Amino acid sequence: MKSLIVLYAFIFTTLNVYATQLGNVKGKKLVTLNKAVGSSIVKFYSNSPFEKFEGNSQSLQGSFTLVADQLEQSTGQISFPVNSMKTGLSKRDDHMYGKDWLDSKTYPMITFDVKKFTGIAIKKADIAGIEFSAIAEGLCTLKGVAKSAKAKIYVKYVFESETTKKRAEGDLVMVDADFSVSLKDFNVLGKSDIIGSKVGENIDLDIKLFGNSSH
Amino acid sequence: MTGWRILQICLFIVTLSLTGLWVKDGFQVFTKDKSEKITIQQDEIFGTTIEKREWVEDFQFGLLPDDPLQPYRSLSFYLVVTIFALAIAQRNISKSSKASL
Repeated sequence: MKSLIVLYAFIFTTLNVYATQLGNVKGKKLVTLNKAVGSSIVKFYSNSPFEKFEGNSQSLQGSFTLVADQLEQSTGQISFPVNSMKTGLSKRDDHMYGKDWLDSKTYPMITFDVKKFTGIAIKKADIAGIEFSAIAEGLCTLKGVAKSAKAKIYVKYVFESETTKKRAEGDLVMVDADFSVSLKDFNVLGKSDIIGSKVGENIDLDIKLFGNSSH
Repeated sequence: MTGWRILQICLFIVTLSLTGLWVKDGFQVFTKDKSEKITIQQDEIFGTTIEKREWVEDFQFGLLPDDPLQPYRSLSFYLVVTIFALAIAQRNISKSSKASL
């Protein structure tokens, strides 16, 4: 009986030593956005007294590295072309791409560089996968101006199985992220007094990313 | 019934119809030339619903024109024209009724 208890204690300790924040996933996992896994999208919302509008871009690209042993050290870069942002009103889109606004000719991409995760909280862990929330801290670059930014994220990490293989190889990942950007901070000033009246001073972003890990 | 009175009724009907179209299109501030087709699907792997969004060419009548050079693509243009025409028609109806007295 005594040896049985010792054996259980040994197995329990061993499992805990080798289990990481991502369960049995070890080391670094490079997750690349993949349309086969799901349609990644960034939705943006402008809320101002005279007009509310929303739009999106579905041309996100990039990858991130999840460090299973220390999720805090995870990094990555997600970007999308300014010209892929649509609001349903072609004239407004053209203005948005123009020099007074996002100046897509000079600054064609909007990027978010993830430098680290903080405030990680494991929400669910079972044989199918892991779910956790965190704050992704990094640099947001818009119109050539890079500012530190924080995004609230929720990650669903699904381990590879026969079901997931039908969609894509490797482990599958879905990330939900929310953050807000102040146009003034990025030197987006617009024409006359439009910002604050017809365009919100802050633009809220709702991002959904889908990717798979490489073996 | 005079021609002016008939014109008044026709303008009123046109304005009502266009206002109805504006309401149907979702009280758009600006006329839009695209709308978003959203399909919601259940994602079994991630255990959530996912949206598939697609922009389709679709004219949505707005209160203001999408292009200032094309003011007729807005409800406000027709409201201004209608109010102006109604006022002229009313003035002519009043004039003719005074003349008949």
